[in-house]
Amino acid sequence: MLEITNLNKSYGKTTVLTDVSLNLEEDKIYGLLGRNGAGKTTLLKLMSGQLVRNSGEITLDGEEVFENESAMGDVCLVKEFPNSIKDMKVKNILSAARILFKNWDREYENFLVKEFSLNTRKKVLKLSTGNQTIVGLIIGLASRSRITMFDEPTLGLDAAIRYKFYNLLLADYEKNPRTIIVSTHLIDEVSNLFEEVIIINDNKIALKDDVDSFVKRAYFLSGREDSINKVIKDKQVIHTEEFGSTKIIGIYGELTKEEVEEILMIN
Amino acid sequence: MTMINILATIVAFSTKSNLILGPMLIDEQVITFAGSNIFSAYIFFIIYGIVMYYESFTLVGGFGVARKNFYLNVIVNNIIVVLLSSIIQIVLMKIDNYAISKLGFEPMVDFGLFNMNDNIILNILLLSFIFLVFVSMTNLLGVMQYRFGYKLWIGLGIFLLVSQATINFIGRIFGSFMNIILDSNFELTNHLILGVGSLIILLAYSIGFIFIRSVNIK
Repeated sequence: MLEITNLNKSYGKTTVLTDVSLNLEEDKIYGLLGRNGAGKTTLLKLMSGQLVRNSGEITLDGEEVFENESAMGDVCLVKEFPNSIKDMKVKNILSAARILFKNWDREYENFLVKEFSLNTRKKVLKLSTGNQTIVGLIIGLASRSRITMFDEPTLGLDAAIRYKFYNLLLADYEKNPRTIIVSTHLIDEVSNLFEEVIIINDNKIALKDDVDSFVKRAYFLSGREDSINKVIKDKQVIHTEEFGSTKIIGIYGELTKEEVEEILMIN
Repeated sequence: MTMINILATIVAFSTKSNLILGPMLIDEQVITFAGSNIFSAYIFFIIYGIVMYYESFTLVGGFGVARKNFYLNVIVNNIIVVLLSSIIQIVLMKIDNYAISKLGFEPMVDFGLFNMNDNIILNILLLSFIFLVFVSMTNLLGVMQYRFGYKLWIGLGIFLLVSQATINFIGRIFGSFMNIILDSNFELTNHLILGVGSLIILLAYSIGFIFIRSVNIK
């Protein structure tokens, strides 16, 4: 469905994404995870055609996304509102979204506005941070775009509203399946939502796997450095911490029965 | 500004003052509030050109509209805006002429490219053309401002400083060129104005499109 090939993006001398390649399937919920400044927002903006890439390809069903009206119309990116449009009233922003997203569901929009008790007559600037986020969530949910991306969708939301959003997202996904990408730091809360996880680290895609396999193949080992190093010599190391001679290592990969026994023997 | 000018005109004429504020006098021909409205229109065009990109482009670009589609819509929008502005301006000038005539003065009717005694539709179209030349440039300014931000103004500032420093040299060359034109009985015809204006419109929108195609949506 959405294919990214050898994508590179820099802002001046700062490289943000290096040689990123991804293949996103239809009707799946992806989690996009990474540290601050890893390149998650940049990747989402590139996928929606809002940023100009340095090199590489982004195609949707074989068609280039950038400046392609039909492809861009199938993608909705929900992000923090820039200051230039915060002076607009919520109802005007929703009107614009209603016109521009071809699959917009007006009834669902009205339901969501009521559900979140949003005052649409107010300017976005006058809303709290949480309510500003809610405007974005309503746009993302009601757009019914083939690919809907949420960049930090829980910014400023209290726990009750966060869980309300997760439940609404899942409920709508079951009735109207689409590809959803959620970029977030609150991994513990949303891990049950994801079918696949994409991790960005050091400007590259560090990992992409379905959640079940990911959980089965991710291990944290701790012990003496020389003992641990024997076990991990051909494994993908994703995290390292040292406390004197003790090492904590996060690895990603299959462990054979013999390796598991060896690790248990070390401890 | 227009209202202030209207009030100044009324006060000046009703008090038969020797000092007339508001009306403009050229070769005994008078224009009042309709003339000041031009300034309001030009200020509006400048702000409209810049704000268009900061608000509308950011909003619709964020909702998946392609840059080229947005730009085409801007051009159409510009044409509608200049048409409406010229209709208002021509109507004001008609009222102005009528009022000035009634007050016993000679209204200003000749504006170079068009004459108020000509067909009103023709006047609206010609004035729209003049406005569009200006709007195409403010649109380009809006694109450049969105693309480069504050760096545009630093660049312009440096350019002005450099050009100031070389103004004598440029003036000498330009002065020689103007003397050649004046000596050759050169006539600034309407065709030339329309031709140069069309070229400016085409260049301004084309350069704007080149820049907007590769801009990141903020």
